[in-house]
Amino acid sequence: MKMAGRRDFIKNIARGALLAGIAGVCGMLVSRKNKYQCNGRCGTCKPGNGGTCPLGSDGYVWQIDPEKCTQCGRCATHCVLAPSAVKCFHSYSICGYCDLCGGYLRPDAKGRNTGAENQLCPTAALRRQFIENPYYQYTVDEKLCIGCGKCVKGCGAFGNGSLYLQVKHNICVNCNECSIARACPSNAFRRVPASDPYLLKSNQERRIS
Amino acid sequence: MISDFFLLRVSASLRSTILLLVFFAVSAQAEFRFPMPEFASGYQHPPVYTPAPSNAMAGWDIVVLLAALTLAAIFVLKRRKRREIFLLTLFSLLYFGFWRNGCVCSVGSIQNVATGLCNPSFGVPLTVLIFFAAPLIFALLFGRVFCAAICPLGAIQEAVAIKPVKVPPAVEKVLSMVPYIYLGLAMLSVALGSGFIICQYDPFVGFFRMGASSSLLIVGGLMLVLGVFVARPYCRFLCPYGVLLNWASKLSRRHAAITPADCIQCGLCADSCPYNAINKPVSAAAPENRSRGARRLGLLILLVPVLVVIGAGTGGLLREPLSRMHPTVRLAERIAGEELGRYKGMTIESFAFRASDTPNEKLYAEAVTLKEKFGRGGKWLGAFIGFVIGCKLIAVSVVRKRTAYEPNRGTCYSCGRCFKYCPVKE
Amino acid sequence: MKNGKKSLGCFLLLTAGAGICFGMGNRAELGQSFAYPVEDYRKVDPALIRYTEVEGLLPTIGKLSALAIAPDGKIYVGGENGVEVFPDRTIRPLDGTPRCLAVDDEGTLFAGMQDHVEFFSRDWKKSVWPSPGEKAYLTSIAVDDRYVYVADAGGRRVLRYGKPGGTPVEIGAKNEATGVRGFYIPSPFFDLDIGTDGSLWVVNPGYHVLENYTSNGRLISSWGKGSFTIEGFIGCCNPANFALMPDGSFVTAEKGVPRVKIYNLDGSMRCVVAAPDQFDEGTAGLDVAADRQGRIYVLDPVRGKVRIFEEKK
Repeated sequence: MKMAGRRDFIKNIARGALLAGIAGVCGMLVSRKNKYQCNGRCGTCKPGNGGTCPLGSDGYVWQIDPEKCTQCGRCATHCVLAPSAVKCFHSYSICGYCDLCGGYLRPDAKGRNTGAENQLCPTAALRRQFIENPYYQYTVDEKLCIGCGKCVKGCGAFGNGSLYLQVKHNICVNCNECSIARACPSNAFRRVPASDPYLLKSNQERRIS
Repeated sequence: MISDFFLLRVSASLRSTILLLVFFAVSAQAEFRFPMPEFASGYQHPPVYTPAPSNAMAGWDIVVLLAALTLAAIFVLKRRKRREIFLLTLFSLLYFGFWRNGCVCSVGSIQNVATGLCNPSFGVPLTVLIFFAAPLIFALLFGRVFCAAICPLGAIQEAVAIKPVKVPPAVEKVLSMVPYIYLGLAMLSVALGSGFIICQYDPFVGFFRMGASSSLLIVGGLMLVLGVFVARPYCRFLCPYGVLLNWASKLSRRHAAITPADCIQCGLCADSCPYNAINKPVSAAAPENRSRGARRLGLLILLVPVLVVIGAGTGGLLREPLSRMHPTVRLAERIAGEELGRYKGMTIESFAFRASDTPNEKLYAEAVTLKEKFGRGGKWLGAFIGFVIGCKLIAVSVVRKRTAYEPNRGTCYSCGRCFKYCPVKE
Repeated sequence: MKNGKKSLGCFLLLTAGAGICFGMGNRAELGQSFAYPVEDYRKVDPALIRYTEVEGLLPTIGKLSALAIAPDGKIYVGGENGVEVFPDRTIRPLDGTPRCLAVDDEGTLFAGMQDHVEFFSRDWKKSVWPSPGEKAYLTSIAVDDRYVYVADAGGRRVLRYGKPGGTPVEIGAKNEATGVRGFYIPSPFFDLDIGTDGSLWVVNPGYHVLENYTSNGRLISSWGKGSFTIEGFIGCCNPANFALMPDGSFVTAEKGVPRVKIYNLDGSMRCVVAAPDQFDEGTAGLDVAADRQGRIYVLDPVRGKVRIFEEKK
C-alpha cells in the first residue's frame, strides 16, 4: 500500500503543478494590459496610459487600412465566406461627384452614362445617379459588391480616392486568424478594437451603425 | 504565377492617396478637408453604414460552455446514460459548431495562449482564455468530458461514427504520435510568427461556417467519410489540444468508470469501445522474468536521451522545409529565384514587394534570421518528439497489474458507449 | 483482418485527401475581367517627348508646395514655413506653408496661405488680406499691373482683387442667363494665369478645359477635352496646374498619371515635356512655370526639387 500512497502523492503534486501552471498562464495573460496596434482614431487612449489601450482584453476585430491596401483582389477570393465580408465603402466628403468617374466608367467607355458596357464594376454594384448639373452621386449596392477593388483602383488612380475597401462587421465572422489577412500582399489588415471597428477615410460624413 | 495581362499597378493609387493626404496635411494646420461642392438643389448625401460587430454573444458562450461542461460531468460520472451524453453532444454540435461557427474553439485557443506568451503585446481575450482553461480544469477533475460532449469537432465526428471499425493497436500507437508533432509544429509556427496552422487546417470549420476553400471542404468531407468507419479520426490522430487533455485526464481525480460495481471481466465493454481506450486486466503472475523486465526498462530509460539527441538532430536538419511555413521566407525565396531567372513572371506578393521601398537585402537578411530560428525551433521540436517517443516506449513496456477492465484515463473520451454494454447493474 | 483492411482503405482515403489539400493549397486568384491594368495609361510614345531634363534646383526648404517665376527672372519656391528665392538662395520666413505664389513687377510677393492672401513688399513688410469666406481654399494667384486674381477652389470661384486689396469681384460665377456654367472643382487643384494680352486663363478641371476670361469676367473662349489618350486630360479633374509660355502656348501638369505637356494656342497638343515614368508613382501637386527663355520648371514635391526641362536640339 505504500506504493499506492506514493503514487497518489506524486499524482497530487502533478495535479497541483498542472493546475498552478494553467492558473498562472491565464492570470498573466488576463492581467496584461493590451497594446493594440493603435490606429490613432478611436480616441479612447490617454497619454498617461503609456500607449496602452484601455479597452480591455475582449473585443478585437479585423479591418483593412485603406492607406496600405493595393487592391490586389484577394479580399474577394480569400474570405472564408462567399461572397466576401469585404465591401467597398464610399466617402461622400472626399468624392468629387464627377461626371467622368474614374471608379465607375471604364477607360474605353462609349459614353458617360449608366450603360452596362461602360461600367468598370464587374458586378454592376456601383450605382450612378444624376443630382444636378454637373454633379453625379455614386453609391455602392452592397448586395452586389464582392470586394474585388476594381473601382477602388480606378478611383485612386484617376479620381479623388473616395472609394475604398473595408470589412463589414455584420457579415464578418471574426475568425481567429483572418484568411485574407494571411494572404494580403501589403499587410493592410490589422486588429482594431471592436468598439471602433472601422478605419474610415473621413469622419466627416454621417454614419449610421 | 501571374501573366503580364494581370500585372497590377500596386502602389500608384496607394501612393497617390497618401500623397494627396500629405498634400492636404502640408497646406493645412488643423484637420483640413477640401469642402464638398455646394448643391443648389439641397442634396444631402446618403449616410455611411458602419454596423458594429456582433460579438455580443461572447459572454453567453462562456456561460454555455461552463454549464455544458458541468452537465457533461454529471452525465458521465453520475447518471451514466449514453443517450443523455449523446444528446448533449448534439446540442454542442448545433450551438458551438453551427451557430457559433466553430470559432473560437478550444483547440485553436492554444495558439492564442502561445502567442500571448511569446509576444508581450498580443492581447488574449478572456473568452479565449476560458475556452483554453475550462476544459483542461474539468479534465483534471473529471476526465475528458469536454471531448465527450462539448467540443464541436468531436461532436461532428461522434455524429457520423455509425459503423466503427477497430484499428489495430500497433497502428494506433504509431499514429498517436501525430498529435504531438502537430502540437509541436503549431507552437513553432506561433512562436516564429508564421500563422495559426491549426485554424488553417481545421477540416470541419468549413461545414460550421458554411464556407471554405474547395480543398478544405473536400478534406473535411473525406475526414467525415473516414469517420463513419474509423471513429473520431481527428481526435485520435490529429488533435493537438488532445495532448494537453490527455495529460490532464491522466491525473484526473475522478474519471468515467465502466462498471458501477465490481468488474466481472466479461470483456463486452472492450469490444464496444471504438477507440481502443479500454485497458484489459492483467494477471498478477508476471509473464516474464522480473530481472529481464527490469533490464529492458533500464535500457529504455537510457534510450530516452539518445532519442532526444536523434530527434534534435533530425529537427535541425529539417530547417529548410520548416522555415517555408513562414511567408517572409517564401517571399525571399521567390524574389531570389526571380532574380536568378529560375522563375518567370511575378506573383502578387513579389510584385507588391518590388513596388515597396524595402531593399532586397533586408528581405534576405530577415529570411536568413528566420531560417536560423526555425533551425533552433526544429531542434527543440525534434527533441520533444524524441522524448515523447521514448516515454511511449517505456509506457508500452511497463505492465501494471490490473484486475478489472478500466478506461485508459489518457485516451478515453468518456463517450459512455461502454456503460450500455456493461451487464453489471447497481 | 477484415477490420484491418477496412482501416487501411480508410487511411489511404485520408492520405489522398491530405494530398489534395496540400496540392490545391492556394486559392485561385480573380480572373481576367477583374484586372484593371492602370499602368497602361502611363506609357508614352517616346517620339512625343521633345524636352530633356537638365540640372535642377535643390531647395533647402522642405515640403515644397508652390513655384513662381518673377518678371525679373528670380525663382520663388514655397515650402514649409517659408519661401526660398533662387539664384540668391535667400529664405524668407512665412507663418505657414504657402499653397500658391505670385510675384509682380515691383517685386511684391503674393502668397496664398490656405484661406487668405498675404503679401510682402520688397523689404518684406507683411500685409494680410481678410479671408474671402469660410470655405476658402486658395490654390492659385496671378498678378498683373492692375489686378490680383485669386483662385478659390473651396468656394469654386475666382476672385479679382485690386492691388491694394479691398472687396474682391467674383469672376466666372455660374450664370445661366449668360451661359456661364461655373467652375467644376472635384479636388483642390484649380489654377489660373494671366496672358500677355491681360486676359485671364483659368482651368475648369471637372470639364477638362482651359477657359479664357476678360478681366471683367466675360468668357471669350475655351479649349480642351478629357480622355484617356495622350492628347486629352486624364482622370476626373485635370490639368491640375498650368503655366503660359512666352509665346502664349500652354504648359500643363496633370495628376493621377503625372505628366507635363505643351499645347498650342489652338488647343492641340504639341509635345510631351515629361512622361509619367520620369516621376515617382502617385506624384501629385506638380507645379509648373516657364521662364522667358522657354525653359520649363516643374516643382516635384515627392523628390523635393525643382526640375528644369529644355527643348531638345
